Amino acid sequence: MTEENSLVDRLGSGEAAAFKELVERYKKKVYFLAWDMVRNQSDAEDISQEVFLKVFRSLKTFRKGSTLGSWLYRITYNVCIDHLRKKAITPESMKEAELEEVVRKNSILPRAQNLDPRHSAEKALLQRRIEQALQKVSTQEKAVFLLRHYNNLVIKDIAETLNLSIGSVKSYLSRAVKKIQKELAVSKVNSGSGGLS
Amino acid sequence: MSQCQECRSWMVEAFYGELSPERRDSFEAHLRSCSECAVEYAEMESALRVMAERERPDPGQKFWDGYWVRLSQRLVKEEMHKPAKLHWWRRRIHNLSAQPKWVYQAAGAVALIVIGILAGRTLFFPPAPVERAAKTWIQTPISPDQDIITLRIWSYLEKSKLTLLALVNFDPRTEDPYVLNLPRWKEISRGLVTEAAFLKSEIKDPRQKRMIDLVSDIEVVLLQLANLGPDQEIETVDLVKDGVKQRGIILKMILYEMGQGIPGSKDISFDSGGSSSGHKSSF
Repeated sequence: MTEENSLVDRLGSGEAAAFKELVERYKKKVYFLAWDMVRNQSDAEDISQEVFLKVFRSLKTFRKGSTLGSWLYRITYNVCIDHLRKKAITPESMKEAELEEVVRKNSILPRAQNLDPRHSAEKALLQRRIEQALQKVSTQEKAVFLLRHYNNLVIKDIAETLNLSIGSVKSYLSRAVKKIQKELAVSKVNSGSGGLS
Repeated sequence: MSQCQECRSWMVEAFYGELSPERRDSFEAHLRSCSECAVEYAEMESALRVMAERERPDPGQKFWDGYWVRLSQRLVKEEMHKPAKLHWWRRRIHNLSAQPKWVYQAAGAVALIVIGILAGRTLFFPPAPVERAAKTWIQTPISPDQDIITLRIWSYLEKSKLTLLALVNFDPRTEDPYVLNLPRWKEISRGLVTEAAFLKSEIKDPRQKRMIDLVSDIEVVLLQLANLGPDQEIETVDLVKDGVKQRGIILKMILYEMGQGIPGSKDISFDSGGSSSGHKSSF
């Protein structure tokens, strides 16, 4: 019996320690997927907690045979979609402000590490280009790309997580990559940065 | 599919290492032989390496250390504030409120159609007033052995009684004649006179003599009322009162109804002494 199967069995029997173990094991994965989707620390924590609360309430509905990770990612994705729908009324200027915040927060780290200001500025610019590129893809394409590129889920698992066919996942992933590639090329020309080298 | 097209369709999977070994070999062999596809793959690879540079701000060790505590606090809080089990009818209402939007739209459309039909029927096909009036007069329960003549007698007495009482209880010196609407009572009287003639001709049974006498007494008073002119309102009322009093018509009607078992015969109040006395008697 694998470690995950054992955890699933313990969760099924209502063992409190098993739930804590699940949280400790997956909290970063869930949090970062939520952050990837909403790009906000406070919202990401709120979403990740909501995910674990949903898991706690629906442990009995977990189908043995599917992986815990896929199940958690699926719940995370759904909670994120709900969150984004609620925030859909947010004006475009707010989205821009969020982007600035992401860049600003990311640029704190290099300064703290006493990197030279030029390098720090280039890094901040690169982060901005990356976030802008991610904004160009649809929510579904973005979810597929984030799960493949940053969470190392293979195409088959992404299909299971998002309840899609393998062909659809390949198609979404391919479209996302093309859009991102195009956007990065455009932003490279506009900024004159050599980030793609 | 050309080799280049096939190669392009495999590029993303190749980058993530998800090609089968056979395809991987075929893919790499094509890139070695096709510079165009090789450049395209290199560009894609470069873009995805840039994306790998993406930094996700880590909230810090303190955040992760307190994560479980915050989550368990929220869990306890939400469990404590979870609504109590709802009563069955509240659950039903709750379930109704959770219906999809189209259900409410459909229900609203049906309600509008029903309201439209009812409004249309009321506005364009109002119930005939004549029928309604006729139903008002025939309120007495009918037993199987009562024939049509008896029913018409009852109806005649009922109408006559109401007409005479309306006038007997009216005081033209203190009340507005327009409220009484005398022309309407005159019109009704004419109809009743005609009906009295018909009833007298149809009643052949000698045992019904008392009833024929009553119909005749009423007929005389109603005839006086029906033939008076429009400018004789006060005189008309006084004339009717005197005729009713002299002939004891109301008393005879009540006695007849009581003898026949006609319902409602006791619920009568009228001024038996005319307008001068102002005294009202109850039967």
